[in-house]
Amino acid sequence: MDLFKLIKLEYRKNNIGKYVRNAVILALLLAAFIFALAFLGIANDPDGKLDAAPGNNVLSAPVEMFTSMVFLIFTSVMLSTFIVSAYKNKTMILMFSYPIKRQKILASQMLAVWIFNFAALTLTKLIIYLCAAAVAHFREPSFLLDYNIGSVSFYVQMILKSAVIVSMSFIALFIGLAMKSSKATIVSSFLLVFLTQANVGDYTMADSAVLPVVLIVVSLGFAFLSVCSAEKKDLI
Amino acid sequence: MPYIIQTNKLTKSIGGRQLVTDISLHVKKGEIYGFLGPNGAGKTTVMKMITNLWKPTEGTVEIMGEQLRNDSYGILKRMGSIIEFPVFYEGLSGEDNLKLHCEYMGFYQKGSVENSLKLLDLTEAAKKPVKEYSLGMKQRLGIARAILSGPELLVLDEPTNGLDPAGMKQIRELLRRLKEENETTIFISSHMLSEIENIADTVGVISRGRMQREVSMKDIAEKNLAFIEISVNDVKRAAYILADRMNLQNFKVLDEHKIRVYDLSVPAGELSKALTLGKIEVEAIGRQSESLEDYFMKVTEGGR
Repeated sequence: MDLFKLIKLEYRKNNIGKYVRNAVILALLLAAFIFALAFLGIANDPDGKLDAAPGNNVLSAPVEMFTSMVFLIFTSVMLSTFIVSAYKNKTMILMFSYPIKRQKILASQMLAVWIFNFAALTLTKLIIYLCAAAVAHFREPSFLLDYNIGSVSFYVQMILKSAVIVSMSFIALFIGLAMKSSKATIVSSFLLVFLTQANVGDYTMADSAVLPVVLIVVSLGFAFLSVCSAEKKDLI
Repeated sequence: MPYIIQTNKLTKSIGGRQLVTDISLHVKKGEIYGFLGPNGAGKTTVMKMITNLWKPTEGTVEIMGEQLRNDSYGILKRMGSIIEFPVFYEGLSGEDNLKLHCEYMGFYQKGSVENSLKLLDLTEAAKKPVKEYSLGMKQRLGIARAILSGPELLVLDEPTNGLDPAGMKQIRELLRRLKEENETTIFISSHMLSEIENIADTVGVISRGRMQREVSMKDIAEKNLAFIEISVNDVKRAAYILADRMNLQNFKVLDEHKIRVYDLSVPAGELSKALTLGKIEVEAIGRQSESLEDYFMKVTEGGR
């Protein structure tokens, strides 16, 4: 059976409509929040100046940070229901009794979540960036609009960043799988958010280019290992 | 292809604890094989290895002539199974669960879902989400799913759990029909003999992780259970006559008046005649049989 079909079946089984609705709600809330930050001045000091860490006075900083935070957690929640719970409520026993390679089953579940969230995160960011650029024609934003919606590199960067964030949630998945716990999956995703998005004083790892790369390598390594070992391991 | 399922000294240990040891069982094509044993004897462990969910620590499993390996996936297409208890996507309806099963099995035959639901009396509940099903309904839906794609081999782990007596009877009838009409081989486990004694062709008894015996029901009925019970006034002398003059070994002195002869090659009339000739008063003589339950109790106790 081809992978694409398996992914479609994952969506059907897990009632994807519910997730579409939730993702749309999240995207709208994020957009409203960013709009308030940029145009209503809720992050400004009483004197009307923006209260942001140095280097964070550009609009892409809050957009990337908040959308990444929200969708990193959302991805982990989905991974925990698609995969961790499947082990816990034993529907994995059913899946492994089908004439389909176990590696393929796991890969399809991981890809199903990855594709959905990659698309959701990218679209959310795209809409926010485009709307902000449009509104900026009529109203002075508190942040600098540090992007050019006419340039290709803006889109490439946005897509790459989304891919990094969504892939990072695989780390949370492996912690969750190792502990056989949906809660551990979600808690780990919060830790990942703090690790990658938070700033301590003026120090933040969000801008580091090395950390995400390391995390991605680590998470894909784990992904590969756990998918490959599925065939030899007992399903308990 | 001599056997549909054959295990060879199957052993499984997890974390140093041995769950089953040296299980060798043999399931013939087209038969119903009852896998009998008390709870915790290791039935599910063996069934998990037969369906390739667990890998044996020692020994091998052969299904339809093919030895199971890590990558034996194709063979699963020809099997239907329930292991432990049937699991479903609880939010989906019974019908949708069966449709998903067809997709994953790669089985597309029009009307098969409806037919399967009808066979298990689930047509009315078909559209309801599975989370609203009772235990018995889930069990029936599990069987409906296992038989849906017309598998050559059914592996059913205590499939009548949670069913009422009428439901159990219905399942037994269904399995018998599958065997007769489709020549399906059925490997079914149970902790209750009464559940399978009427349908099983062969019974394998497992106790404390070890295979105690594997016998065909026909053999039990003919050889082990039936006996001739004789009531006499002098058992000692009667025993002497049976052993010495009639050359019988397979008999047992029960008490001061009763003897049981398990060797049925000698007709009761002849026994009676021989004893009377030996000046023994025969008060009663007749063919009887031990209950299967007693027989299996004896076999499982033997493992202790």
